Amino acid sequence: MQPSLAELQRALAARILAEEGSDLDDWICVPSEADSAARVAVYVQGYPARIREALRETFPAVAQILGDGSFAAFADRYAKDVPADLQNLNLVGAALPAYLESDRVSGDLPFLPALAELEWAVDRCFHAELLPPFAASACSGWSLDEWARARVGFQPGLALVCAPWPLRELRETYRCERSEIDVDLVDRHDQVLVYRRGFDVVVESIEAAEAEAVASLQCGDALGEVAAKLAGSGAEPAAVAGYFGRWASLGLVVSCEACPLP
Amino acid sequence: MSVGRAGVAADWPRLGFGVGLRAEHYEDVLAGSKGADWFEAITENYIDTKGRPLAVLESVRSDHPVALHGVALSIGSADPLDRRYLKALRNLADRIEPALISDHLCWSSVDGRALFDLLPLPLTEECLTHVIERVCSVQDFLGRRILLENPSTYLGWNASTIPEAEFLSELAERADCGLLLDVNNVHVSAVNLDFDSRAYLDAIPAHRVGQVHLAGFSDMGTHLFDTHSRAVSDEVWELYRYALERIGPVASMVEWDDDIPPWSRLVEELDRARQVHAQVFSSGEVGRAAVAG
Repeated sequence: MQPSLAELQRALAARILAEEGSDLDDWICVPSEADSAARVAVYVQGYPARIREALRETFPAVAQILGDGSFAAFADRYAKDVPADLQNLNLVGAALPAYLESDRVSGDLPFLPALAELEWAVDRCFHAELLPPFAASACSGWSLDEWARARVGFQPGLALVCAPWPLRELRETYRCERSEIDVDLVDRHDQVLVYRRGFDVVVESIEAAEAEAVASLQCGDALGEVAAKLAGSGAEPAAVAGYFGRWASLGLVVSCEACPLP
Repeated sequence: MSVGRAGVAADWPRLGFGVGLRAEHYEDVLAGSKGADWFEAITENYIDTKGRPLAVLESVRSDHPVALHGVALSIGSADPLDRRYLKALRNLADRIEPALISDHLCWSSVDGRALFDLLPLPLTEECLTHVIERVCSVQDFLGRRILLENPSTYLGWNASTIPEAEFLSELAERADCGLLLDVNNVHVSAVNLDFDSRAYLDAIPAHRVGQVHLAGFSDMGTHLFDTHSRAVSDEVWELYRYALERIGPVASMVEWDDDIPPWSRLVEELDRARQVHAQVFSSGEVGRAAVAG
């Protein structure tokens, strides 16, 4: 009895994914003078090669810091352990930052998960929609109370990545030779804001208080609550007004609405 | 494009000579560099983005016809059709209004797992019926006819009972879809699986061919590999000439995806396609078989 379409496809998939128990060899054919192993290898080797290439493109600094051999081995482990369920190679790295948290390469290089998170944020920002910026005139007559109740929406591609490592400097390592990488990691806490200016992605280190304000607003807090949090952490609460003005001038704010009184 | 009456070559848009739209050439294309009549965009590079790639595609589309060419439809998979992908494709098609939409006769996922390759199908009656049903579903969903491309193949299945060209012919007629004839793939597969490339072209219904691909391959010693990394080979140019004699005028394009050359080199390759086309036309041999067949 002939195998079904699904059985044949599962057999080739199992061989490509290096799983056990494939009946593939009984079901394929090549010309008599051809080497069937070489032909199967086209598909078996193509799968990890494409994933490696896609990941290298999305995570250039992680790849540069690990080096070709280590990155390829890491990418192969990732491809094996994290099944790709979306038919788009451009999205295959979505789970890589989280995967790095428990992978052995992060043992000696504990900043890698945060660096990967930053590189993924840059990639997503590049592809994000750029919405019309918020028009400041819409709230020109607001009272202080209305400002305190205002919730802010940012551009879809805006991201904040914070870590106890010099993330922005680490990301720049993809531009240099691996042998020239020399980044001081001690006491280099960094808060990085990722956003779009036109089609360019901006990666900017910001101060801790501004990062706290962004994070708080992304959680849905109102500006008054953000100011209270800043005060609680020893920062100047009025600074939030300056931050808002800066974000608005950069086109990062797309909505600002005063919530109804409870 | 008219989607009414099937089997009329004139249904397919006469686009001229195009190239694959690649990021390496964005600046050349946006600067108005001449040479290509139309562009083919890889669907997956534009369906999950609202950033620069989509803006470039829309800009290109404002001046040129665009074809969308996918690698992830997985039309032959035993899995159900991927509705998320189809919706994204339809949204992109509505936005871009492409002259053509194509993908490959292959499968690329099973049990929900993506394999990112154009994997060979067993060419059986079961598979043919399966693919026909799915092509009809896709065309109904998109509201447009699609073209399916013959893939490069490195191995066959013992279960196969239908030659690939006959499979494609039957598929195109019964699903009322078009064919994207990749002449390089015909050559690569013919060498790898030991069949006659011209007999293959003879079995392809000319009126179903809406587009032709040209590309370069690499000789790996044990097989030819469809790398799209070099110039079109002399064997493939000869096969292109033969295909044109059978098919008649058809939208043709050059794919170059690895070791991508400067724009000017790509245009040289396209000009060679124009020369072959002109030679075939001037000989009075054009479309002879298409009319007869």
